[in-house]
Amino acid sequence: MVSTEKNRSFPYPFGEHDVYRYSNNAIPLNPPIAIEVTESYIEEMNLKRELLKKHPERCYHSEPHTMNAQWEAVDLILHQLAKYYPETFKLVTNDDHWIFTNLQTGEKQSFTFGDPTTLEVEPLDYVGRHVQEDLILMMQRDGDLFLDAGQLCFPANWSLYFDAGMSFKEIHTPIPGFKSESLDERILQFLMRIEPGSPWWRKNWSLMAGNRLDTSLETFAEWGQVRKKVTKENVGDLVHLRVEVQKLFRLPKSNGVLFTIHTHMLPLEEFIQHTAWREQFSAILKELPEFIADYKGISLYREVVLEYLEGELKKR
Amino acid sequence: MHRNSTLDIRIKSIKQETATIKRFTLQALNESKLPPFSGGSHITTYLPEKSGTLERSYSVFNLSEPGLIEVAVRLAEPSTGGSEYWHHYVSEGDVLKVSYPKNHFSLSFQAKHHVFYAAGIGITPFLSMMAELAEENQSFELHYAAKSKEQCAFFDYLIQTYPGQCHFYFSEGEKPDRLSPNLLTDHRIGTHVYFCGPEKMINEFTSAAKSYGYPAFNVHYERFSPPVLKDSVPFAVTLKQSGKHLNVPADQSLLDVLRENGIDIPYSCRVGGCGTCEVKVAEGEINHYDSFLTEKQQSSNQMMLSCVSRGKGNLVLDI
Amino acid sequence: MIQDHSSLIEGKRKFLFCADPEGARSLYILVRQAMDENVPFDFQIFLEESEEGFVDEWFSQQKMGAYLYISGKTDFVKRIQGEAIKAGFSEHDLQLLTIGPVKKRLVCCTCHAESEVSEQTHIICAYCGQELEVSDHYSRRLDAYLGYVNIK
Repeated sequence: MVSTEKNRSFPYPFGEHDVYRYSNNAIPLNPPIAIEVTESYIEEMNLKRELLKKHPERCYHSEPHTMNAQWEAVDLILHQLAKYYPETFKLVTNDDHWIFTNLQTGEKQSFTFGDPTTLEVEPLDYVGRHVQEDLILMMQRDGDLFLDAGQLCFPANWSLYFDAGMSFKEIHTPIPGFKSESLDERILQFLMRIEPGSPWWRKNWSLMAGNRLDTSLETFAEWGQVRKKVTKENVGDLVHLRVEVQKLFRLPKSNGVLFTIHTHMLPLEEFIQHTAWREQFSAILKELPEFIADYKGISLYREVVLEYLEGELKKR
Repeated sequence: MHRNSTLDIRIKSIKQETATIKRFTLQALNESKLPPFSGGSHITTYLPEKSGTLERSYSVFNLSEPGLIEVAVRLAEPSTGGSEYWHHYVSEGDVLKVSYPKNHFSLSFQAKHHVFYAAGIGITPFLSMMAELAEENQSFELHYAAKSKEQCAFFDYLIQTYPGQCHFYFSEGEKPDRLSPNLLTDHRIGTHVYFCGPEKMINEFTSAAKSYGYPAFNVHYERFSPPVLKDSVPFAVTLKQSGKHLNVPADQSLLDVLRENGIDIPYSCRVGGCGTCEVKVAEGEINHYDSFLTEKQQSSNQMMLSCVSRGKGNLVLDI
Repeated sequence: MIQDHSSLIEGKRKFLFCADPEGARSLYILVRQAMDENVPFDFQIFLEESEEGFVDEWFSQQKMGAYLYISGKTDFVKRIQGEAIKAGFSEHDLQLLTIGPVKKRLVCCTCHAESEVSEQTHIICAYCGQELEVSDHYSRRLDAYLGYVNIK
């Protein structure tokens, strides 16, 4: 049973409309905090670190020219952890001699800021092991934005290994309808204009069968099968709403964009405790065009979910 | 009008670089450092005038110790207000608001060689760009035109810091020398060129580069953007497709008025940053207040962001 | 890359034409045009890979305003393109004309192993046995397409 705190703090992804389409739904991020520590911190840290140990080839990638941006990400994230969660994280900096303490994991790390030989893994890989978020670095070069570094343990059915080095538009070519009305061009332009000191955020949503966080493209054959197992008896606790809270920060010296992705999941039976959510989501799912439902992997069990929601709506 | 977050700075020092150019060194108010910036960045400064806040943008650099930001301002004759304010009303110790550094004029990543062409105060963006390239051991050269050595800002600094990589062209004096776009013909494949200076110079060099076969991809330039005049007066819109006429009062946005009248324009950030509320304009003059459209898009006068931008008199929207 | 192979791109000061025996013919019309318009050019046919040794130097000596056409079989075009990029040509400074069967590489989404495909829509990954659908999602870094798993 999911705790009521998790239910209450779940990032509901829908706005005013009962219709969902792809759009640039980014809004200014205030307060400008890139990371969030939730009650599943330790569980997710352990899972993440195990994945990094067992499958580094799909969970981490970086191009050599991203080093400066990686250090900027370390600077930003460690300072924010210490500032916004002072009971859990401590950061002491003496010029470039830094000491970071994580009281939840009981770890203390000394290193020289800017010197990669003083860390056991690359800077982005290091800081990623202390936050629940997946961390992506998009480098802005020659008039375009490229996925040049990332630590990705909880992807929603994509592959960091395959997408590494691609431009923003190239990454999104498989999404049907993303190019219509030049949405991809508009979003790219927006991303390229993000300024230091003014971060943005948005939410991305999907449904998934099961609650596995590691839904990488590489392991699709394992977790994708669960989509066929949804029945009206188990739909409430098997199917989850999966929301990614994504935050975008411009890194001032390297001019790169740090993209943090925090994945939240809530089983449908918890989700429907909120009347307003239940009603709106039922309308959205009913109206959702086939091509979007298909791309999000919902098609196989969409009807079952709709019947479930309808049934629950009638009950109350 | 929305303004992104700002920094409070104190003027640490002022140096007279030439008869008409002053360098201002800015520091953070407390003991902290100001944010670093990428080569080619600029800041917008907010100058408190009696008539309202004057916004002027300047390229940033730092020839002093880390954690500071520097700008160089040429006293223009006549001045539209900005340079006059900086030269006559700003003293050491003064506190001002500025934007975070932002970059619309960045270095090419793939270039094998970079060539900078500067005229007058156009040298400023290249100071931070050359520093960045030097730090990374990348290849570059500078061609810098000024009236004379005395009027050539940062001459000594450039000669000392980048010996052999700088070429100067002084148009006055015994042996006048002119900076000619002909130099463009001799750069190796993989060169990116950057121009900064008066409008005429930029036009001359960009046309020349094109005529010599440079792809647009390899040509970069930054214009000094015209001042942003504040305006919050009512204006009218005609909707081309329905023929409807609407009035936008001074205290309402076009977006709000459209939505109030049943036209479902999508929106998201409401601060002119995300592009979602863009509307097409068929006729009329637009005052752009957004931070999303490119200079080219804004000057095309064919679209605007309805949440922040406004019209002069009457606009005809293509909706 | 603009793919109009029947007429020269406008505005360039010098052309480089580079072909293997299979690709030479496709360039003749362009060479003819360069001659007629009095634009300087270099024209080189490579009979064997071993002759390509001087290409890096040849390319590095070029100036801005030079434009390169590469014509031939897939492997030849890829090799010469690689040298051109290293020398400083960008995708805006060159065009490729590939002759002969299209050879694509496919990355297995499950095990990352690469296989060669041409016109197939499905293959079996030779390394992990996974059945893969050939997609048109292309990775510039790997120079390969994605083969992904479909659950029926």
